[in-house]
Amino acid sequence: MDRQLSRRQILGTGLFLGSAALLAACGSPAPRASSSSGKPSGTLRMSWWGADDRHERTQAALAAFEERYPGVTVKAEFTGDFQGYADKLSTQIAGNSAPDVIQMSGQFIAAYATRGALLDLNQYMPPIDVAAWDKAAVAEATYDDGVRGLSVGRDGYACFYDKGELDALGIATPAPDWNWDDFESILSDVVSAGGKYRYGCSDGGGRYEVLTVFLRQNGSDLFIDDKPAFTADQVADLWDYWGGLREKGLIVTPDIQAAWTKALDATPLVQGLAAFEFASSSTLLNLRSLVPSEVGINPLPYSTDGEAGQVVRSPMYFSAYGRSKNPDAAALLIDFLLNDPEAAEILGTTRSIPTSPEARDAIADLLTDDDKASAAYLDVLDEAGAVPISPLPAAFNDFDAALIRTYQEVMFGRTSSKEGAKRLVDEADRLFA
Amino acid sequence: MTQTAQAFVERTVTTPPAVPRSRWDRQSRAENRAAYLFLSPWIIGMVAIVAVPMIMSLYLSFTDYNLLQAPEWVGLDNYTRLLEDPRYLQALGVTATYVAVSVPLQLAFALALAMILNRGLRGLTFYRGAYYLPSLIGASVAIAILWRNLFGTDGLVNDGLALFGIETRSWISDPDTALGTLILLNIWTFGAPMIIFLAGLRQIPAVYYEAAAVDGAGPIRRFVNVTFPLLTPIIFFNVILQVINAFQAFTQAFVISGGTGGPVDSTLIYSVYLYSEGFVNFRMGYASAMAWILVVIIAALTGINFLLSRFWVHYED
Repeated sequence: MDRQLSRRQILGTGLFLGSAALLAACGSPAPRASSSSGKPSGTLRMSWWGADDRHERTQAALAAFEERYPGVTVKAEFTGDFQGYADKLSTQIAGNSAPDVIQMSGQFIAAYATRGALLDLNQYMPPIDVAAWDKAAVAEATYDDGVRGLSVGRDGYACFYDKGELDALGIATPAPDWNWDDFESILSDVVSAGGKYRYGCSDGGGRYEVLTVFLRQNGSDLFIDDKPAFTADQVADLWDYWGGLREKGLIVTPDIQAAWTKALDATPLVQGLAAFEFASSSTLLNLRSLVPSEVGINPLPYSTDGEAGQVVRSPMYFSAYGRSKNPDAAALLIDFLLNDPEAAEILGTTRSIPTSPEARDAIADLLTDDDKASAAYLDVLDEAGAVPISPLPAAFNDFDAALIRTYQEVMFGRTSSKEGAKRLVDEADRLFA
Repeated sequence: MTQTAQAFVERTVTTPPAVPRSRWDRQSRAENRAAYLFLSPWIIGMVAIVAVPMIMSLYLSFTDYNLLQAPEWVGLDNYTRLLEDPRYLQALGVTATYVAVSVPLQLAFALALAMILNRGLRGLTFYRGAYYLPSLIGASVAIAILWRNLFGTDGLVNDGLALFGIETRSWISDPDTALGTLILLNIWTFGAPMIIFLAGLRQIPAVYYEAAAVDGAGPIRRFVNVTFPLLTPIIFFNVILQVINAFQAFTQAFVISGGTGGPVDSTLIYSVYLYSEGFVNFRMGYASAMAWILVVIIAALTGINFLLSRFWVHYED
């Protein structure tokens, strides 16, 4: 036997052993780091988006969790802006490397839940205990016969405004049951008073929240049973209303609106350009830290015949990643963050007024004035007969992008509101066919 | 500049190996083995990082694949859908404009500066470095963010225009000007072609200029009749390179438009749409089909460029 051959043999044996080890590693089931009976252990990753306050409170809550369960370490992955978080999460899920516990937005939970990326939390009760919860709240994020996320908190769509500036200009603050005509006259007062804001409001024509409320006021909704439920005429009516405001110079110009990136600090209100802004009520806390004067909160304007059409919803959910190596510990963490009184006290209302009754009771005495304002706003919405949002379908992101894009075409005068609305409806029909 | 041409030729011509006689058989095989052994790091890298993913993506382009569940064979569906997708056609148009406007301007700029720098200015190395810098950093996220701020509502550009009383606007969020800011950014990264032009200019023998000057040719004549013809191989090389580069532009458009290709899809560059279909909307099969069409487009354009080069590229021999 010559040298080359023996070398080849060695090489071959090495390759065989190497690949065998690799195959073996791929073939064996992932070791479960914990079981429901034994002590939980291992490492978890958790990701969320939000402002600094949320980062600090969540990290403190994770530290409390690690203290309670000494075998578990939790690595925090947090992102400041929502769009960046959405991009990062989609890349992580595409690359099979998403965190074990994920803060999910109602805007994209369906996209992941219907593609099998999220665990069915029903299988993990216990450790998750929802006995005290409202049944409807538990079932809210049910997709493919599984609970793919649990509601963290409650909020609703809202109209925010710079109350300090309105007071300074001597303009009366809006009543909770104002309508779209009142809205226009207040914007007109703000602009003609020539205070610190050049415009009255951002452009709401391309906002799905505004469209939803408008549609509800006209006897329809954005989605019913995962299908779009609106007509081109309805959309064109809304766009014509906003077009009128734009012509009168009451709302921001198209280029300012087009620069908006869904980040709170990029809104015209925070940038000092417009006095009114639409957002979900849970952003009140953050808005108050970003706007120097006092921020007021009101429902979206009613229709002129008094229809409220307001929306309440869960701004976010906690979900567990479908490929988590440690699902039991992940479920334990979700339960801790949602229900545990100690965690509730640390987290406060950084993710809005908690959905969990235990957590709500735990922080009842700790509410700040801002929290009370948020809670009071939910009562206002209740009185207005606000109805929970119908779940956003899996292709919602596509739809939202199409709404923004077609509305931009109308804003910039590249197409008429009728033609644009027709195109949006066509595109929606294609997306949800 | 015949070197470039020679390199092109050398790559395509391979000398057939001499038929080994049985005596030499064993030794030459041993040598081959050694050669492959030394090549293996490159071959393994090439196969694992380039060839396999490419074949995978070709396969995926014929499937419906959402990244989370197993791909499903759909035949040519993705390709036929592309032709009916208005956003895809928009992306093609935007990319064509981007390439057709930015590449010639960028090269003209690079050539003009190379000719100025070729004159032996004082502090030449500093200038060369300074002008080359944008090429190194132009495709980075930091520069894209800088650009976003320069051309935003409160940006430096508007501050400058306001001095002259010109009505300001947000250049990056106006559909009429957004693509223009991207083209400007690409032109600004003229350093790499400039360095290549400089090297080319250095190789033009001074005797030609002397002869032309003796014949009474002015600077324009000298450029048209001496510099340009002798520089055509370099220009050709730069055109090929920059066209390919421009077709693959991504970072700038992605960052400046916030990942949307907006406003009104005016900055929806090919790779931005490809990325958003694949990684945001989870249509990886569709995105793979787009990637393969891009490969075909770039290959075809490069081929056409080579064919056309016969008519305008002069090799000096």
